[in-house]
Order: sequence, then structure tokens, then C-alpha cells
Amino acid sequence: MPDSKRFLHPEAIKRIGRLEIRARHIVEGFLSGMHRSPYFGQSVEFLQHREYVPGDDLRHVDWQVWARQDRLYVKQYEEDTNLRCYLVVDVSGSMQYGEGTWTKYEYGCTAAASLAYLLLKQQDAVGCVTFDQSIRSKVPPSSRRNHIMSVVQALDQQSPDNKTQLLDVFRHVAETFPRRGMMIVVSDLFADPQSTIKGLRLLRQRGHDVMVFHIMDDDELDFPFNGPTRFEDFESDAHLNCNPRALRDGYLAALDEFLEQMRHGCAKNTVDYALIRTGDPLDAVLAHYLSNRLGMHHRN
Amino acid sequence: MFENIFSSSPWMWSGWIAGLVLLPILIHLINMLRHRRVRWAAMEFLLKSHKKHRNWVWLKQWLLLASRIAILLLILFMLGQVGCHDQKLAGLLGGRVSHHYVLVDDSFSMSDSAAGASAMDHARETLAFIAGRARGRDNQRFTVLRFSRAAEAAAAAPEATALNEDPGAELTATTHAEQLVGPVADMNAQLVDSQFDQAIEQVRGNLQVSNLSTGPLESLRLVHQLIENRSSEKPLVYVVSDFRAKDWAPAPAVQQVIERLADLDTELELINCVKAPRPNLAITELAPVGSIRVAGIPLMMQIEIKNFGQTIARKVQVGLTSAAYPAETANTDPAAVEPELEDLPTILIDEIPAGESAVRRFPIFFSRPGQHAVKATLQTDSVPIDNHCWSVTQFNAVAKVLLVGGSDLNPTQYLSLAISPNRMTGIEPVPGTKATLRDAAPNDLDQYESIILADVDQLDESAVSNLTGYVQRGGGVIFFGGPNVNLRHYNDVLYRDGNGLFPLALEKVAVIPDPLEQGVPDIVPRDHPVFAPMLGIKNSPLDLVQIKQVLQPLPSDDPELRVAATARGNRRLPLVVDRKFGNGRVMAVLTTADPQWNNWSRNGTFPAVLLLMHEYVSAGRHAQPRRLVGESISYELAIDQYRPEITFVAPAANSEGTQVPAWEDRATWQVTAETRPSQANGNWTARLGGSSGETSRPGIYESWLQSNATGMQVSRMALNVDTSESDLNIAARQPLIDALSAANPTFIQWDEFQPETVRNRSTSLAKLLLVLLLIGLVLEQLLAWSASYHPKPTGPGLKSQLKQSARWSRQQAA
Repeated sequence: MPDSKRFLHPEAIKRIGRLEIRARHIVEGFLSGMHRSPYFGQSVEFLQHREYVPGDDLRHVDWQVWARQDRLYVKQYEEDTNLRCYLVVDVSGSMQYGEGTWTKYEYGCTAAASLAYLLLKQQDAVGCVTFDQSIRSKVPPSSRRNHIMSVVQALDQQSPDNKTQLLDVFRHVAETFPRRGMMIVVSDLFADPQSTIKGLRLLRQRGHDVMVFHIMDDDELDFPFNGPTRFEDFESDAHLNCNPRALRDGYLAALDEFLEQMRHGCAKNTVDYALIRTGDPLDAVLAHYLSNRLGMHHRN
Repeated sequence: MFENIFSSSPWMWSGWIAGLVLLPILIHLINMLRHRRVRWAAMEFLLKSHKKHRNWVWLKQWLLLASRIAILLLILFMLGQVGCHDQKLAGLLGGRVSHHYVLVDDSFSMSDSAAGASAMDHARETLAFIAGRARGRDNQRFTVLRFSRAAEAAAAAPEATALNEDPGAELTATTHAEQLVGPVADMNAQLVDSQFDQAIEQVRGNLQVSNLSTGPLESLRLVHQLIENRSSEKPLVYVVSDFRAKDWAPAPAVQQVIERLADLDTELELINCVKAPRPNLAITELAPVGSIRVAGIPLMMQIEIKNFGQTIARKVQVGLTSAAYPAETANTDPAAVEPELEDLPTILIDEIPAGESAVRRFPIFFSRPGQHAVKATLQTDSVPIDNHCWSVTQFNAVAKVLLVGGSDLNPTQYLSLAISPNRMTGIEPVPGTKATLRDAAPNDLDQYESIILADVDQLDESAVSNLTGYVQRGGGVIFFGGPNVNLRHYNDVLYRDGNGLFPLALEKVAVIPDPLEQGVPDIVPRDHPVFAPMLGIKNSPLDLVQIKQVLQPLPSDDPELRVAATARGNRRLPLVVDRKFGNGRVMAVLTTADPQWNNWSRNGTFPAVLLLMHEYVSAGRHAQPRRLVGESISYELAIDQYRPEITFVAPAANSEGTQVPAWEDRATWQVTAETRPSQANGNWTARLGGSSGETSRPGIYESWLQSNATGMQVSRMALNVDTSESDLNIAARQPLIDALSAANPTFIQWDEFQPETVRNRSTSLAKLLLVLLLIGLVLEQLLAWSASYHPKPTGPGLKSQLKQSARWSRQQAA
């Protein structure tokens, strides 16, 4: 049994529970009075087949296809238009870093689980994708209350490894989840910035409302190291023996340039971007961010 | 080049430097090996930073390492109190060495005591103050020089200290000054370091008042040359003296040297160790009066006491002691000879006015021939050393007088009777002829106290030569005229236009006419020592003398010629004349010694006048200039007559440590004489004293010579202090400052001495090191700051991050 308490910190969830998440733009879904839908009236028209993934409702399995091809596909209907939120969580090697209480991986997964719980509580559908240089696991969106266990299980059973390759992952996600929804990316974004932005643009072009939670460790932002240090890369064999005091300014300059690129790229593609330090309290960060989104919704 | 720990052992200081250089490098390498291992995610940015800043990072690391090494070395230099021997290098480094030249007056006037402390005690204390001043700074050197020692050095090499106008000679003198100052300075260019205190205490202990009268001139000249030679140093000259008026006001030579010192940027400080002049008496003369010095015959001595004070001295008592020495023999040990001492009656002088002298005479009597001494002593006053005076007199068994006659021996018989009427005169007349003079060896005539020639017609050339040499060496000759005198020979050979022995040229034999009235004396005496007892005496027996004929001289304008008496008459023909010749004296009585031309020889005044003339002309043989302490005693001896070993017996320091040695305090020096290079076959030379300081004490000095013919010969002489130093008047302060205004000196009393000079402009190497150390520390801190991480007290927290996110969101919405 997955340790659901690992990421669902009650105090954090209690504080978020008083808030309502609002879609900032046009989202698909028709949860009563809560979300605007681009569609007119309800529909039960068949949209497409999709390969079965664990967690899919067996009622939607197309048994005829199974009988003919011996493969499990589920039928997707257009009337399934609740808010669909896809949690795209980075589990690459670089997310292992963390000198404090949490690693970036733990912090990101906690944030994703908290959001999933919140969305499920308001009857929205939540799916989850973990990735490194490829998709590691997928949980299709569902609005069932016990779906949270599937999400948590998908997050918990991963061990961070390999490099990060966001463009391919985003392309795959966009193809896997063609229906528009909210795409929450939780990652340190340690990949080629241009391809990352290109991937985000692709998601936006598919109509997703994209939010990027950029998880960074305090050490990565402040670089407080002193004394001779040997730095070894998580995702490769690269290493560097140096006096970090001497390289700090150059490091911070390069990091600032990277962050600036990401902020600029997100803003340019209308992607919500939030830089989150692992040292900051998670509940306060989520509460503040979601309050901000609500405020923006009212202004719109 | 460097002092202290760097001068101890090359291995030690090189080990220190190597260790301190290696220490930061080793720490750096160890830190590099002890690096922390961190698994890192944002490696891309780190590698980018490393690639971009690699060279600059390396440079900063090396600079940091170098600054830390430099700081350690600077601390080592500071803790080691590094000084610098190389003056030019010190000058380049800004650490100019300050050289303190302390010139201490050790003339005997510095023994002037008041309130239990002498001026020299104050000088010692002042020296400690000056040493303390030097000790408080860095890069200091110290030289202590006494006036007397500088004078000795100048006497040893007068060409070295003479301020010469010739630049080349100046350079040579400067070079010599460095060589001269080494042996005579109490402390020469001593670096003020950890051993300085011990050295300066030793110097203070050695500072004693000398018996010399030495002014500041020679020491200032020597220091001037030293400063010229040590041009890279900052000179500070301290003159610690009593500033007596005789040395300082007026003193144009001193003023000239001080002006030259000022030209060399010298700081001059004059420190007076005496506050006010004090009364002082001194014995300025103690000498025999008469020249007949024969054992068994009383001899009059004359003593002069001068009051150098500013008040009348009353009831002055002069103690007298005679010292009769035993006759020396071949086996006599010079060190064992003890004189027989006898206290003579004390002389009491009621009062001596301020600045004046009192002269008294007293008789002394020695029964044995030989050199005997007399010592006079005043009661103790401010300066004790000048209250003592010694005198040595040679007493012979008899005083021989050679009487030389011409063809007529009658005059010599009269002379013999007149000059030695009985044994009480102590004179032994020795009859001689012209052959005696002609055949005499060069020094044979020296045995005679005087030589009297009576009516000698003419002399052979060798006789004239012997007689001339005798007079030039101090002998006295008396010529009596007569009918046999060859006037032409006297003029041509003996007078020789004033260059010869005879005092005047003769013209003819003149007849003195009978007087027109009775009672007119034929001999008119003048103010002359010979006739002094007869001047002003009424009814003198001399008035009864009748002169019939005289040798009439040609008129003479010789200023040396002195007329003692003239003959009666308007022409005032000279009758008795004298003239100094060489060291001796010649008298001419232009009439006969027998009754041929006068009746003087039958007059009672004739023996007296003859004895006075003898005493007068022979005075040159006994002329003893007052010899002063510090002078050398030298002998030049015939190599075939004396052995080259001479034993000198001199006064020595006594056990009580007082300045005045007692009779029994004596020291013996064996001196081997050297052959003079210029007269390798002629003479030995031997010398005592001079620059060696062996004659620095007043008293009796004995020289024991070993004659091949007569065995031991002893020569005694008295050395006394220079009583010009007894004048304790102090130079007026303001005129002295005005006279030395070119050097802008500081003139203070010893108890006004300040720990720091008014114009202390010198810098030191330690200050430079301190400045460099501070610069190094600041540089190191800046480098370390730039190469390290310093978290801000209030960094950009969640609030600012979220504000930044909101700002981007607004941009997105826009």
C-alpha cells in the first residue's frame, strides 16, 4: 500500500481546502457553475479510442476491439468534459538533489499530490505523468475520489534517475492527452531551455492551460558553498573540483540567465510560471499561488 | 644586511623564511585534498561559470596565497625588529637610520661637584636619557665619543681631522676618520638592539673624568667627518658638556665646524651639565727661581695660586712636600725606588682676590745631587685635580763655569775669585783656553753652566762652532772685552752682521773721559735682571766703579739686543748688553774683567753682578716649560751609548679611585726603543704616552735609561694638569645660541632633557613594515571577501519570489 501520508500533509491540505481553483482561460468541463465550457450542451458522441492504462474505468473498455485485436482500448466520449488536470512530474536524476528536509523530487511530488487531492475534492478529473527523458508512468485522468491513490502510487513508486528531456515528453503528453485541460508541470526544468519552451508552446497550442512549478533547491539558488568541493553531476559522469567561492558569481549569473529565459519563454507562451524554493513552506506557496490565480480569474 | 634573528645563523633565518613561505602553500594543498563531495544537479551552470572565470579564479587564488605569505613574512620581520645595515637600502626603503652621536666632555672641569653629584654624574645620567630616546625607536645607531679620546685620535693622525679646503684632502680625512674613531670611541655605530642596554651600561661605567683639558673642537671635527661619510643616515649630535667659557665663548673654530654640521642636516642638542660656576683655586706654577741648582745649596721655588672664582679666597693654605730620591745604581730596581718625603712649612695666603693670582717663594734644600721633586697641594675645592702640582729639579754636585782667557790670564783669575768667593755659591770655576773650546767634543761643553771669555783676541773656527752649538742648546756665554780683542775678527766671525754669536758689532776702543763733577757714576744700570738689585739704591757701591775705556760698538737696531747698563756720558755707550741666541743667551761686558780699563773687579758689586749674569745667561739650560698630562715622553738615544730598553715609571690609578695619585701609586712600563729609519746607524727612539693614555695622570714620571758607559740613568719630569681648564666660568647661553644659530641648536640643562627631540623627522623600517602589513591585511581581506560567500542578513525570501511570480503573471495577462 502506498504511503499516502507521505505527501498529503494535513496542515497543507487544510489550508488549500478553503480555496477554489479557477481556470483562467477557456477550459473544457461543465462542473456545475464552476467552469466555463467551449462546448454547447452535453454530448455522448464517440470521440476516439485510447489504449487502456491501469485505472481506466472498465466500463469504457471497447470489448469489441479487444475481441477482434486482443488489445484493450477504451472509448472516449465528448461528453466527458469535467476539468481535466494533468500533473506532469519530473522524476529525473536532477530532482534528487536536496540538502534540506526534502529533495526536489519529494517537494514536487508533495505539491502534485496536494493539488490532485484538491482537484478531486472539487470533482475535477486528475491525471498524472512522471517522466525523465521519457514517460515513466501515466495515470489517466479521473474524478473518482479514490483516484488519489492511483496518483500517489504513481508518484511514490518512482526513483529519480536519468536525464531530463522535456520536449519529447511534452510532445508525448500532448499526443496522449489530446483533450484540453490544465497541465501542471512540476520540474526543475534542467534541460535545454529552448526545447523546454518549445514543448510548453506545443502544449499551449494544443489548448492546454499550462502551469509550471519550477522547483529549485535553496542551495541551487544561493550557492552557499565554501571550501574546496567536488561537484558530481546527478545525470552524467561530469564532475568539478573547485573552490565554490570563486565560481559563485559566475554560477549565479548563469542561473539567472537560465531563469530569465524560462520566465520570458513562459510569459511569451502564456504559461503560468512559479519559481518555488524547497525551503519555502509548501502550503503557503500553494495557497498564495492559487489565491493569485483566483484573483486573476475575477479580473478576467 | 639584516640584524637580529637574521644575523644569528643563516640556517635559522632561512629556515624561518622557508617555513613561513611553505606554510600557506601546504595549508592550501591540504584544503584542496580535503574537499567535500557534493552530488549536484545544476552542473551545467557551474561548468559554465568555471569555464568563464577559470583564469581569474586562478589569479585570485595565487594573489591570496601570495598575500598570506607576505603577511607572515612581514610579521616575522616586525617581531624580529629588523634593522638594516645597508644604509642605502634602508634609505630606499624609507627606513632611514638615525645615528645618535653623543660627545661627552671628560675634561677635568667636569669633576665640578655640587650637592654630591659631579657634572660627569649628570653626563652619565644624560647618556642614559639619550639611550632611552634611541631605544624607543627603530633603526637607531649609537656612537659615544669622549672629548679626550677624539683629541688623542686627532693627535695620532692630525691630517685626518684637519679641516682642509682641498676636497681631495677632505675625502682622505673622511676615510681616515672611520679608521680613527674605531679604537677611540666608547661605542661606535652600535645598533640599538637587544644587546644595546648592556653595552650602554658598560659605557656609562667607563665614563670617568680625565686629567686633560680638551675642548669640543676635535670631537666635533671627527663627528663631522663621520657624518659626511655616513651620508645616508639621519645624524643627531648631542654635546654633553659643562660649556666653559674658555671652550665656547668665543670659539670661531667650533662655530665653523657646527655650521658645517648644519649643512649636513644635523640635529644638534647642547646639554649643559652645570648650572652655575663655582669658586675654584688652582696652582698655576711651581718652578725653581734660580739657576744655580747644586746639592747642599738652598734653591728658591716660586709658586703661583690663581683664584678662578668670582669671590675673594681667604686663608688659602698651600701644603708643600719635598721628595728626595736616592742615587740610582746599576742594580736599582726602578719600581722599588722610594723617595724620602719631607713636609715643608705650609704657606698661608691671607686672601686672593677674584680672578687674580698670588705668588709666593719658598726655599728647598737637597743634600744629595740628583733629580728631586716638590709637590704643592691646596685644600679641596670644586675641582680637586688642579689643587696639586709637581715640580722636578736637577741638583748637581757643583755648577761648573768655564773661564777662558786670552794671552793674559789675569782677567780669568779675577773672574775665578769673583764667581766663587767661597763654597756657598756652589760654583766651580774651571780655567780653560781657546784650545779647550777648539778641541772640545760636540757635547763636552754642556757640562758647564756657563762659559766666560775674558779678553780673548779671536777664536778658531771649530771653537766658534762649538761655542755656537753650546749656546743654541741653551748655554750661556759672557764675553769680557779688553785690549787684546781683535775687533775685525769679532765683527766678521763672531758678529757676522747679526747672525753670529756676538750681540753687536764693535767699532773701536773708546776712552771714557773723566767726569766733570764728582759723584757721577760711570755705570748706569737699566731695568735688567742683572742690575735689578742695584736699581734705586742710594749710595750704591756700584757708583764707585770707574770705567776708563770701553769697546765702543757700532749703532745697532737689533730689537733682540738688550742693554743692561751703559757707560757714563752723553753718548750712553752700551756697557753691558745681552741677546738671546738659540735657546741660550749671550752677554757682552764691553770693558775688562780685570782692572786694566776699570776698577770694577775690585768693587764689591762685581761678584754679585757676575753671579747674576751667570744665573741670567745659564737660565736657558734650566728652562723647563710646564709639561702637561697627555704629552708624550720621547727619547732619541745614541745607538752606541744606550741600550734600547727603557723603563718608564709613571703615576698609576690608586686604590681609592681618586684622581690624584699618591707617591706610592706607580706603574711600570718596559718600552723597547726602535731604530729610526732615517738614522738607522745613529739613534734609538722610545716613546711613552701620546695616544696611548699612559701619561694621562699628573705626577712624577721616571725614565730609566741604560747607558753603556755609566749604567742606569734616570730622568724625571713632572706632568701637571692644564690649569686653563680650572676656569669654571660658563659661556653665556644666549650669545652661544646666537653664535651657533646656523645649526639652530637646542640648548638645555641636563635635567630638562626630553624623551623626544623637537624635530624628530626620522622614519623607521618597522613603520614601513607596519604599513606594508596593514596594506597586506587589507588586500588579503579584499581578496578573501571577493572569493568567498557571504549570505545577506535579509535575503530575497518567499515574499519577493512570489512578488516576482505575480509580476510575470501580470505580464502574461497583459
